[in-house]
Amino acid sequence: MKQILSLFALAVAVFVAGCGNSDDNGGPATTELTLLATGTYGDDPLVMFERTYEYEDNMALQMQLLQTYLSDIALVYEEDGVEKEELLTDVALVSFGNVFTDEDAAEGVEVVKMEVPVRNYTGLKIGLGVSPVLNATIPPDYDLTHPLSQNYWEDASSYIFFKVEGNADLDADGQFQDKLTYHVGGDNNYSTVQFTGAIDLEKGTPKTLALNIDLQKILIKGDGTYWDFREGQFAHSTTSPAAVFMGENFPNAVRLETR
Amino acid sequence: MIGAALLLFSLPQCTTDPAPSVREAPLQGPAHFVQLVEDAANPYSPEKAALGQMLFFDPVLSKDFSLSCSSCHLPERAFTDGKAIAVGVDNREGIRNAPSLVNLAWITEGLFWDGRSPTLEEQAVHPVINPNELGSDWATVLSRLEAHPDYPGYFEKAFGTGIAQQTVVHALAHFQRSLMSSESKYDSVMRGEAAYTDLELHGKHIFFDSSEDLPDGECGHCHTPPLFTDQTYMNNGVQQELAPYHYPDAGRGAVTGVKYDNGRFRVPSLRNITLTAPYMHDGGFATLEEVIEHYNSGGHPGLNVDPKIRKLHFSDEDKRALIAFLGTLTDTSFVRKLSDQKVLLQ
Ligand code: HEC
Ligand code: HEC
Repeated sequence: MKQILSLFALAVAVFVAGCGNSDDNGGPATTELTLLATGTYGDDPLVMFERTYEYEDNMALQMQLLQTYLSDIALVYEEDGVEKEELLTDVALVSFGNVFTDEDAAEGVEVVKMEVPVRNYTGLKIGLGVSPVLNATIPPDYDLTHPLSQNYWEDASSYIFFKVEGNADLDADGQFQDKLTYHVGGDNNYSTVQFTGAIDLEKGTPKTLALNIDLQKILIKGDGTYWDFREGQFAHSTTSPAAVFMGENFPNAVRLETR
Repeated sequence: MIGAALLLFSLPQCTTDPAPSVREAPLQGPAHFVQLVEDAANPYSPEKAALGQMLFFDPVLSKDFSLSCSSCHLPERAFTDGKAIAVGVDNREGIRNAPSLVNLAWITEGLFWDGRSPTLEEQAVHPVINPNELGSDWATVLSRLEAHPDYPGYFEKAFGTGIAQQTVVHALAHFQRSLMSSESKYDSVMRGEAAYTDLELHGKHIFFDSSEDLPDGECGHCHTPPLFTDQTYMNNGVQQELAPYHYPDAGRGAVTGVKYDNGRFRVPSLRNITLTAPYMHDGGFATLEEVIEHYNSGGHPGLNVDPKIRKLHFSDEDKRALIAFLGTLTDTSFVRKLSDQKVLLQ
């Protein structure tokens, strides 16, 4: 069963009374929470290489990489009328580069999997990109297993927040010879989203949430304006028009589902 | 440990002296590199590295005492051999070019051009028994080491245990882990101690796509500093695609079984690149000029050639500049003769 959490979902959310407060050991009771990320292009699963995605004005594209950092991922809850956060992770790197089949795409990639205090949470916050605090750090601040040990852009003093790479057919000749490389970074392209709706965690019942990223919505705005590949096939500066366009769209390209 | 510290401390500053080749524990890299993580199962020690160094240069590991690891990984060539394709015992030719052994302590995404080996410990098992390399077998190697007048004592000193395949590969791994190159002109400029020439700076801008007025080379996206590799597997268009996703050397694809990985190879480090010709997994390019021509042309088309590989429109000056910048990655302190570390094992 899938449920889309949104601002409206809050209105219909059924709140289960009572909080799972403590277990026998005296610490807060916990349950396993998994946050996945799934990629789509509109209604189609996002897979690398052979799948062709129709684009505006008779263009089409095939993907080779979609990858992004996510920051300050936290469950939100209320206590004594005050909104509080249960931090899941301060940063994660999510790549769809090895998603080759529809099954892989449906399964999604793991963002975090951890024990979380059981509570009736009211939402989830996610930063899209690397938060300004972390973006002020550099790879040597980390060891080589840390997500921020890579993808740093020295000249821009920023991590590369997300990458969209693939090949386009710009003239509808069936040949995907036009190379696309959009790298987006810089504090100006960071944004945060908050999904509101009941996320009830009960002891002994593992829960899975899936963050869906819709590439089509990164490239095409709600009002129909789209990034014209013919205007720029590359972006690797924090201020290049393509980067800013995609950075702006990112918050509208994500939604959260419970599984 | 105190012995090691004293030894390093007492090494003269004079540049003609051999470089200290083993490092103190815990193994640490330079400040501008990502931090290393100690392997709890096989913690680094200078004694293990010193033993690894002796084994690395010792032909006892080969079938007929003719070759050592260092025959194909020569220190003065930044641990390459100058050949397009490596040649092992009985003059047997292998299938690939011998890569540089540089900053391998940071490589976490697989060793060999195709990444088939997960760790330096696992990797070291193979050259000994590969018929195109040292062509021996482990039973022979171990019995020879046992019969040696000094090795049993050295292993005892380094590991507190006897000679075994595991201790041999652990020693080799630690010697190679201690091979760090971070004293090139590039590093000096990074630390604010030196400045690029105009030509080098021009090349650096192309390498990192950092000037509006110069063509983008896209190089830094894959050859990412400070290692000058991002450790991904990429197809950079050096091979002709024979049929969709089918290449003469499948590279990464033969390891993962994923057809989209066919023709992909691990992005190699470019540190000391002026010393490591010929280039690419097949040694197909004799000079850096040929490499730059390759990238400038966009290489062979192929369904999984990376989108960053495309026609680059370099001028002759751009090409010279890029090569000048690549020259700043040469670290002369890395290629000096290694000093004898036997004293650590006595
Ligand atoms: C006959 C030449 C030859 C000899 C001898 C040899 N190597 Fe190599 N080495 C190669 C070649 C060729 C490769 C690349 C093979 C591949 O990727 O398929 C390689 C790759 C490596 C790598 C992987 C480096 C990387 O960046 O992924 C390491 C580490 C290494 N060798 C260590 C050793 C050690 C240790 C020995 C001695 C026990 C040794 N080699 C002996 C030719 C040789
Ligand atoms: C898409 C990633 C990518 C980009 C961009 C890229 N390279 Fe490479 N480079 C590779 C890979 C992968 C190899 C090894 C390929 C092989 O051996 O088949 C390589 C090999 C090399 C080598 C040979 C290294 C050796 O030890 O043999 C040099 C030199 C080099 N690249 C320089 C450059 C320069 C200069 C640029 C920019 C003009 C550049 N590269 C852009 C991925 C890339």
